[in-house]
Amino acid sequence: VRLDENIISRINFISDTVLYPEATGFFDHCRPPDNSQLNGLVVYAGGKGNLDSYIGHQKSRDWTGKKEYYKEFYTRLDGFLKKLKKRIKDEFKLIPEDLNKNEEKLVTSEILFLLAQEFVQHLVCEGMLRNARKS
Amino acid sequence: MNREMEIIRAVALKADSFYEQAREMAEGALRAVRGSRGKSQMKNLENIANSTMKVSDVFDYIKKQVARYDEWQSNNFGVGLLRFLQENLRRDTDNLIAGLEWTPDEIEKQKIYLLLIREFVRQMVIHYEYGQVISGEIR
Repeated sequence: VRLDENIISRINFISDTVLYPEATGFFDHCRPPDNSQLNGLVVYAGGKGNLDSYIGHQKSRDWTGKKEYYKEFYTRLDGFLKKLKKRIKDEFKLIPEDLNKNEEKLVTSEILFLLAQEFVQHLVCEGMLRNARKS
Repeated sequence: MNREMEIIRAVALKADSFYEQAREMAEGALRAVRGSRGKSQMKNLENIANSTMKVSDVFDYIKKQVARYDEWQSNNFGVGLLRFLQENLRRDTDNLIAGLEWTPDEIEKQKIYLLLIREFVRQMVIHYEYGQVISGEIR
């Protein structure tokens, strides 16, 4: 799916003005996991279709001891990304009106991939910054 | 004058006032991020600012540098730079927009912010490179 320049420009704008502040504030409510976990997120965010299943897997793991708080991080992230899909049409108004059902599904999927990638990039950088300042 | 040209002109005028702030920030950088590695990191920052269409890419790069390299934490250089770009230049952007004879749309406003960041980073890196040569740190 090839998105037009107007949509790409809107995605960039949303990344700067909505996703960046939301990623920065994300860790006001939970602790970032260590950098190896954050690096893993970047890798999976770069491959279409993998991020959902990776986060689902990480969320369902039995984190214990010092890593117990990872569960809360992945649960919150999973919830955020699920809501992101609904926001594409209703809040961000990124879906052109002249698309049929199948085209709309493809365009939504491509936009979700790009927005999730943007959010994860901001989240990972913020998490690494907080980890560095804590240590 | 069309809108694009007016934006470029307004940004250029504003950027003229960055000289002292850029020099001070570069002095902080010279104390924190040293040698040829420092030079390449500062040039990378400039390259990212010039090539991206998002201000958040510049902020993310600075955060990663602070996380990876202790020297970016030295004298609070990295976080200080980040705050300056996010707070001072955001304010400068709002003031510049208030001085225009028309109201830019939200995408244009963000573009003005990015152009100011590019100008500030460009000037800071020039001061930084000049400082490295003058101090004999780099030939």
